[in-house]
Amino acid sequence: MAISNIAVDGPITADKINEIIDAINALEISWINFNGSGSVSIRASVGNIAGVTRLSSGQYRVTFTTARASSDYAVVATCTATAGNDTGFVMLVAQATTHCDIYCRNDDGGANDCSTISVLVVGG
Amino acid sequence: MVIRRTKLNELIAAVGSIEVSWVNFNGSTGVIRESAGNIASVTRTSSGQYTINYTTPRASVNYAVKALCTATAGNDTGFVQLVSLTRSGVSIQCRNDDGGIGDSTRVCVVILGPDPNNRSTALSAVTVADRTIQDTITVAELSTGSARYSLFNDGTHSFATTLSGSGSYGTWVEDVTEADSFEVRATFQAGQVPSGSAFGEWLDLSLTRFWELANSVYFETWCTFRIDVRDKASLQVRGSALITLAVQFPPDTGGGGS
Repeated sequence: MAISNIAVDGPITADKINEIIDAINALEISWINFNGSGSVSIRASVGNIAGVTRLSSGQYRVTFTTARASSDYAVVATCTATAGNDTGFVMLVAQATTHCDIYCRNDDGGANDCSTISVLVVGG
Repeated sequence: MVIRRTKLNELIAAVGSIEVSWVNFNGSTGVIRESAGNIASVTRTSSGQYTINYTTPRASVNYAVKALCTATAGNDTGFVQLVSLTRSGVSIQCRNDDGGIGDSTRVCVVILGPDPNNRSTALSAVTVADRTIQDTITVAELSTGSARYSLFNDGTHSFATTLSGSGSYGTWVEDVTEADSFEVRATFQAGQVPSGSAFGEWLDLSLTRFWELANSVYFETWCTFRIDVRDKASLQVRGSALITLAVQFPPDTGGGGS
């Protein structure tokens, strides 16, 4: 149950407290902000994020500390313009319980590094 | 240390204000793989075009949406373009670097609030209980007396009788600032139809509502009706009660007879 749909309108019981804790845990929000140029470095991250690996130019794998229950979580991302281009967008490539792969592309369809990439992972 | 219910609901409201909803769906079919929060369904309106429908309409269109997709069909790139935001859903398109629209096998959408429509379902637990309100009049006071039940816009409710006294039942909502976020509907059940506010329709509780049974005739009278209180935004009924109004004579203690 979504946390916003919980209301304590009766006695405060252990079950009710656990219901609230479960709802908070169910949010399962993780995020990472990293530099994708050259040697990848994490600027900041929160939640179930172990690290990020640059697979090749503009291609990255974000790995999770703990495997997710399923590979059907939601992942969204934003990036700066790719190297040598004035546009940049992130494309989803693959989702697994242990990681997700993303490509930073430009309006020519090429994959290039981005200096700032933000990834938000929810659920799963 | 005492854990107060209001404090606990404040905690729920604070966490609930994060208001994260998300969905992961197959863009070739629109079939949802997994979702959480205020997500009802996904409609594939045409190739690469989708509407994510909400279970509960959001309070405004000023929320945030972020989405990601795999490469669109027949192309090696894919990105999501926002088309429109409404209270009931968000429409998106999966596009490629040629500007074309095509299905993506994986589409992820995250929606971030705030959504005040859910606020009142977390806050302001309504505690409406069944009530019996009775006015007792004497033989000398025939034709006077009334019994009234009121819900006030300051979040309180009370009874009032002409001869037997009046009193408050306390508050029917924990956070009085949310009182006008609710509405009440009275449903007549039996007895004499009372005067006052209407029956059978949802009435805004930004105004005081009341139902009164006045003894205008020389006999006992009574009625029962049910009230339901619901959150205006989510339409969730948060409390119900059976109200009995009665105007009674005292028992016959003497006189008469043969």
